[in-house]
Amino acid sequence: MIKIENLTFAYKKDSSLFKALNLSINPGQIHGLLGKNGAGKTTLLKLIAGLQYPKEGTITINDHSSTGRSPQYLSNYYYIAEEFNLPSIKINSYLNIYAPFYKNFDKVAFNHYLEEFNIPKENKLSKMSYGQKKKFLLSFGLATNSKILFMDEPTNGLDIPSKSTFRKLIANNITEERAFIISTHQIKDIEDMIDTVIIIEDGKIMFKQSMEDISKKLSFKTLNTDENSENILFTEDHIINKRAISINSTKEDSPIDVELLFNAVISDHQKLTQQFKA
Amino acid sequence: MDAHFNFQRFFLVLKRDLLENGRSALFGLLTVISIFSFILLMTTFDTNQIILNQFNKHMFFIAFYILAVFYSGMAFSDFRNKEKTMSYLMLPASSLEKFLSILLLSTIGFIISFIVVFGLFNILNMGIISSFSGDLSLDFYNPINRNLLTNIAIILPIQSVFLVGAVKFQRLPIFYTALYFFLFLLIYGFLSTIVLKFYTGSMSFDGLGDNNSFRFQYSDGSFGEKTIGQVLSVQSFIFFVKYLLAPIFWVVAWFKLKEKEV
Repeated sequence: MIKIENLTFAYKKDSSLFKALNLSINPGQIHGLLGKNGAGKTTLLKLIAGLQYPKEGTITINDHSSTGRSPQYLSNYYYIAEEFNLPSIKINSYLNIYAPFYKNFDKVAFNHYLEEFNIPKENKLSKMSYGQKKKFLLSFGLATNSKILFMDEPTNGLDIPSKSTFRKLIANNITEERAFIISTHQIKDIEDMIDTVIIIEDGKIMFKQSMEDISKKLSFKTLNTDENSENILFTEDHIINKRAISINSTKEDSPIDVELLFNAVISDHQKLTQQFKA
Repeated sequence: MDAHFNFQRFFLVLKRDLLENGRSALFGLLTVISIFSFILLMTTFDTNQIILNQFNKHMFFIAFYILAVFYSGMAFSDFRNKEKTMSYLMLPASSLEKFLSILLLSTIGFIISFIVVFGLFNILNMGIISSFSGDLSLDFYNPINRNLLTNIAIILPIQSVFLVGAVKFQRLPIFYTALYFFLFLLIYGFLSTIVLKFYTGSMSFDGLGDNNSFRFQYSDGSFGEKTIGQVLSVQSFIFFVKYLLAPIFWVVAWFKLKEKEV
């Protein structure tokens, strides 16, 4: 679906943000895109969206290249940016202008999502709060039925009930033909629903594994401070104990702590990635 | 072909541009013509019939040029804001459709709206002047004449230059376009002088002579005419400005739009 080959990109001539980055993203899954501040998550989304052009390499969505921004390419995805600017018009006017660009737009579903998020339809978009605007965009993005939905920090600005609604809607809308890519620092908001973890570091995809494989290969547990084991790959101090990632030698299921996994990858990714090579 | 142009998508883009920017564009048009009308009405206190009608005619062209530059320079209004730029570029339509929509609105759309609004204000001004001024009356100035076509031929190349600036510059596009255009003219003038020197030796350029020839002043102070049509033809220059400059800059603006990044 999305194929990135040898992507090189730089904001400055002397330092590359991405160097020969390769990534393929398949449909039917919710992908969590993680990385430290400045790692290039938003830039990667912009590059895939065709808002920036690679210096080298290619990006294709369903065999359409990102460069040139053909309507065929653009209609494949919908991108909900972290920062946005909506016109000073009512929801119905927005719908009237923008929905016809998306052939599979579902107005009934859109109204349903608005109701789920408790968004009043009468208000002008510019008069809405940041959170309400974001919920409006999430509703619109889902209703476009685009094959790919990019979301950059989608839970920022959402209140607690809206985060639950967001998770419910995302989980209900993923199909075999669609892919959702969520870039976030608020990993706790989405860790229960993602299918694949993608971690960017040093201009490369440092880690990309399905939650199923992570669960098979790794075990996440709490340790007493003095406890030690040869199977342990990474530990991190918590308030009164330690959180650890170890080799899942007993094949037992443990809830995946994505935050701990992220810290482990950033700390020493080779130790972890080796477990997935076998 | 469908990847570059599709009528249905084009009309969707046109509708979007009209509905989102049409109101503010019309408001700007009404404001400028209101200001000019106010000035016109003020002149009725101290003027005569002929000057009043002359002023009305000149007002048409001054406002026409100012607004034509303004609307082309401020076209692609989404590019003044980073987030709006993203939404605009991601709109599922081709760059050609997006460009043609803006081009249509900033040229033909502008000219038609300007003539209609000016005509309405003219009628309004006629009514006001005849009601308040006993011995003065304003004639209706019908702008649809040969003069208008000549001015359109002048304004289109100017607009095309500002349209490139509207795509290129995020901030103060009119100012930067004017600045760069001025610098371009300076460099162009400088290079032309060098070329002329190369072809004419010690002579210096002294304006246009008859038969599209250039007039030169020799180093001894005497004047002479020399046809350098083979080198710099006035006729071809006028042809270039009149028919080719605008399309060339439109193509440049379209390519700039295709290359535009956030």
